[in-house]
Amino acid sequence: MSRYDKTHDGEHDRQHESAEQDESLWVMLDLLDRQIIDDELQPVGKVDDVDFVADGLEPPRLSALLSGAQALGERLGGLLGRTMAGTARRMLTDPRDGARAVPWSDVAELSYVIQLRAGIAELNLEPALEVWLRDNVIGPLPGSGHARS
Amino acid sequence: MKRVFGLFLGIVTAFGGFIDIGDLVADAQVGARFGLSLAFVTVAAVVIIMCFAEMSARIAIATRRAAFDVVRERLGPKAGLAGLAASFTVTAMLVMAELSGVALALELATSVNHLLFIPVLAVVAFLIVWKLPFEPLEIVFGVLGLATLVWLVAITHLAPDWGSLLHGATHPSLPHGEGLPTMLFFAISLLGAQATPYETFFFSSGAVEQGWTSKKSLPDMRANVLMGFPLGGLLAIAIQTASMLVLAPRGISVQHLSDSVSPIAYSLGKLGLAVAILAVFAVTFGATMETLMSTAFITAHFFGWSWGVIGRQDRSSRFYALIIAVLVGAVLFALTTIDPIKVTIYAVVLSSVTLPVTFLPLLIVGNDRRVMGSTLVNGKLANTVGSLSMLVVIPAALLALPLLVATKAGMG
Amino acid sequence: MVRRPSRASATGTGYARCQRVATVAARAADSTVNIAELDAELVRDHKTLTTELQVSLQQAYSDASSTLSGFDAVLPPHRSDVALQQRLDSALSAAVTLLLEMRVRAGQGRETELVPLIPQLRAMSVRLKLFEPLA
Repeated sequence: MSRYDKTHDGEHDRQHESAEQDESLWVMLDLLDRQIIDDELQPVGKVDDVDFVADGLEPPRLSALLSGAQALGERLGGLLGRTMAGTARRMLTDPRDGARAVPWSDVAELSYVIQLRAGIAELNLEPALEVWLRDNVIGPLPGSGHARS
Repeated sequence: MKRVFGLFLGIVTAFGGFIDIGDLVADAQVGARFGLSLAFVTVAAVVIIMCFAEMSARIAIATRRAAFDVVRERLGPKAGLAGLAASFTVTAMLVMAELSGVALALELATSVNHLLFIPVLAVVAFLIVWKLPFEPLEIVFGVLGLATLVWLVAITHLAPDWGSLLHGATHPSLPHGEGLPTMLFFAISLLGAQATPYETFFFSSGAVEQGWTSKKSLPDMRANVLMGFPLGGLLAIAIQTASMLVLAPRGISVQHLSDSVSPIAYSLGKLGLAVAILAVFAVTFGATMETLMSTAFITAHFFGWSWGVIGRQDRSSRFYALIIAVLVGAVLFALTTIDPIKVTIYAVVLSSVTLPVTFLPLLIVGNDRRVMGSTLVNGKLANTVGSLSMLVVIPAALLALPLLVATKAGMG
Repeated sequence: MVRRPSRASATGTGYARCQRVATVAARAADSTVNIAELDAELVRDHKTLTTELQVSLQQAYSDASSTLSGFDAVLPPHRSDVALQQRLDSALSAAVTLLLEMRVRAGQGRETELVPLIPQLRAMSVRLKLFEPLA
């Protein structure tokens, strides 16, 4: 799985890639920095970066949307980006390799937001920080609606 | 009938939301030192904030998302992040200043040291965010904020020479003993205090909350803008006038909240003073809530986090955690016993530095036909006023910090 | 006689700078005295609330006090400034003493005893205004 090449020159190039459904998308305009929501209309995150698959024979295909501070940091680059990505990486409690990835197959609908086919928990897309804060800080507060397990 | 009531409430909240601790300090200071010579700055600030509040609400209506969300999408994360960092910093400072303002109002009412109120108020503020839906609260603060009308009553009661007031306002002049750099510094502070970015965000978040999602809401939204903000500006000028009429002849410069309200006592006595203290309490408490929630909202909008829903707060843990962090920061900052009036002055100056970074993206997005649709995209008026506003806020932003240093924050 | 500035100041010699510092300090102190006078008048006319009065006088005293200590920290760079410094120092000290007295009386509920101090406050203000530049 090849990563989106960081030697690529910034955000304003037009990168024409095909999605699995054979729809052409202007990655920069239609996908990046869009809001992702789940099937209950809950915000999941932003499209902070995208992942491509290239197998040499066909043009590179979009394989996943990447979301989270780590993905954004790696995309931004520079001192700020590296700091952001580094901090995010350090906060991972379970060894998920890299940022949260939304496989293209989980995308249900593209409109002014990107809607997924299922709930955020089901798709294992909960950000580590959110989960940690919920379990340790916000959840324990009375009235938070958090069901204690 | 219900629509008229809703309209009335919207106007009341816009105008009550205009006045905050920044105004109570800056307007009073300016009036005492420069009379009405800087009233034109208030007029400019009102025009600017009307332009961009309308624009950000229209963006929310057109895109069904809040301003920061759209700015990131259209201008890229780097531009969005710059705007976020600037606005977050200023707004977080204002949380501390407004929170202190509430405490200072309570101090005036009880003569108990304001620092003792700060932790309690922070907890109350959090509980409100945690438990209470904001809309009814906005209404309560808005209505209580009507108490600021006492400034208008006070100056009328002093029976000033309205003709000479008007003349002073329309013929700005440099008073004897004041330097031009100092006057420019106060002009920029006033601009920063009155065209505060969080008001535009709050207005656009409010648009999303109130379900202003269709073009039909446009007239109501514009009515709020056209009537609410100018009334707020009028009140700001009233504060300047009261200061000018009572404090300037006595050579009193405004250093504390008690100085800001003393003209009311002079004009209307104990009852007026009590109403003024209530007014300060209401506007600063409302502003505390607005600035606090603003910091969390703009962050959530930029990063794509979910934001608070009463009853399922655990789904937005980062949002609430950020609110707690901002409150704790504000409390700790206040407990260093730093003078909140000084913090207010620095916050409004910083605010003026961030105005271009906040407003320019709105102007760009508002012109983006692809995002706004051809009916809601910026018209000639919005673009003309918006561009002229940039001509004002960019030099102000560039001059703000040098003047702060050169005039020693107006004290030099 | 060529005089070297004692500190790098944008506006010239050390004496002018000292004069500017004096003017700023005098104005600040004058403001606190005037606030106290306004407060006393409000008491006389039954226009103020006790709590606000106490807070206001406390702050006036505190500001005057820090103006005094701030000014005392400035060292005169030239012989002729010593006289200026001593005059202002004594004026500031007198103001601080008066304001302290007012704060105490207000704190003890003796508000009506503030009213007779109005003429003294007036005189104090006149004295402080003497430090305005003669331009």
